[in-house]
Amino acid sequence: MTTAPTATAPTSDRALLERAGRGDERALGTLYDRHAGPLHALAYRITAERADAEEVVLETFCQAWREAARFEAARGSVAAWLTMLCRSRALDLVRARGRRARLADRAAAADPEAAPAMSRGADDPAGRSERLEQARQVADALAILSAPQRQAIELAYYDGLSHSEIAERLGEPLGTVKTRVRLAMQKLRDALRPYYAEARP
Amino acid sequence: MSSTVPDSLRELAAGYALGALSAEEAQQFEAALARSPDLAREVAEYREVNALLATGAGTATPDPTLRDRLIARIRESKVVPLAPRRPPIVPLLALGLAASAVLAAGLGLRVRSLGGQLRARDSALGVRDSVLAEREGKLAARERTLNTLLEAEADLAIAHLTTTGPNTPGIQLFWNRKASSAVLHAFRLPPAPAGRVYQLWFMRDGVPVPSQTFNSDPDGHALVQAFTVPEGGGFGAAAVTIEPEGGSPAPTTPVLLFGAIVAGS
Repeated sequence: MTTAPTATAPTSDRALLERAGRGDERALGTLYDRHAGPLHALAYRITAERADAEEVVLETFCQAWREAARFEAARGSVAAWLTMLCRSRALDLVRARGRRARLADRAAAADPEAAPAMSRGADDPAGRSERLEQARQVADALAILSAPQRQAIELAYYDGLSHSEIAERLGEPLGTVKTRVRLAMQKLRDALRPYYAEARP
Repeated sequence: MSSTVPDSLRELAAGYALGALSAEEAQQFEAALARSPDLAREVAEYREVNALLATGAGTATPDPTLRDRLIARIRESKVVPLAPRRPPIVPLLALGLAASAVLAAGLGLRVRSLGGQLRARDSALGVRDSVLAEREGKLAARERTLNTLLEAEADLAIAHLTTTGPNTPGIQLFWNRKASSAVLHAFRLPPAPAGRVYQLWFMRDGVPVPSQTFNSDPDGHALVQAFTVPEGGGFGAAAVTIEPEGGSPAPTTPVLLFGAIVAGS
């Protein structure tokens, strides 16, 4: 993800993951520094609980550590892989917790942005400004979507709802929801392609 | 671009990357995915989109101690006891299935009693405290395990991996086919030699598909909780070998334990 202009080219995520796979703790630490911020924000947004989000992030990196050899570069970037691991762990945890308990939690932590900033996190200032820049790009891309499209994507992405669960929740036909999710993801893909393309090998 | 993938399937790529498909659709899609590099590329793109969306998830930052906790945890997971005894390597065995029906019935009872324990534990945990974060994490893992077992209902498949002889190691494998999630429990399994781990394989038409690596504690126990079963399905048996740390793409040592996968009632 990092393309900051520095004197020496930063080690690629792939090279770091490979080294982590051979037992290099520092390489794993560097991957953590690069990716823990957004992964934690995602886990927190999904689980709505700080302790759960941190556990999800820990387990995501532990899994990456154990299964580094299984990462296939052909299938995408390290960031995409980590996000997939993190998101499915967070959603698993929320499903296990049960929907009712979760709704109560969500009400209590309705606004993740307003949560007290406990720390400066692991990001260096350059990493943080890059993250803000990416967040802006994502916000711009989301702004292209219609309100119903954005809602459908949020239900699928953050709540882990299936097409049919979204249709049920919104009281709309399944076909309509499927099309809406597909078109929304296509729009996001087209809008965000310049940003992830540069992260690809 | 590939003419072999019908549009009806191609249109599921975004939903697949989001995990929004029904189990049936996901199965159909994965079958097509395995044959179409074009489709795989499309899914990969949507996964990049997913990764970028994470940066829009908010500005919450992790606790500064989290990095140290990560390093501590990977060190902890790497501890291999000194001078472990190398378990006997036995040739691949056919498994007698007579016991599997009894096993499945017994597990039904066990799963139900675990459910009671889970509910009891849940109510005891009424009030949460951040001091309990560590324990909650472990509990969450345990809950995932229980969910894998409890929510499978008729889709629970079971394998009992064995070798011959009395007091030999055994492995119970529970596979929730609905959720593509499995739980592995090993007993009387000596820790793997230094630098080595056990690796689980799912057998499809006699071909081993790589899965989890794990190691047992000095008591010979191992519990791998709620891990994802390799894509594709169609697994008829499971096997375990000893492999270098990090696992192998194909077995490099003879099969140590083996068992057929039996569908649930």
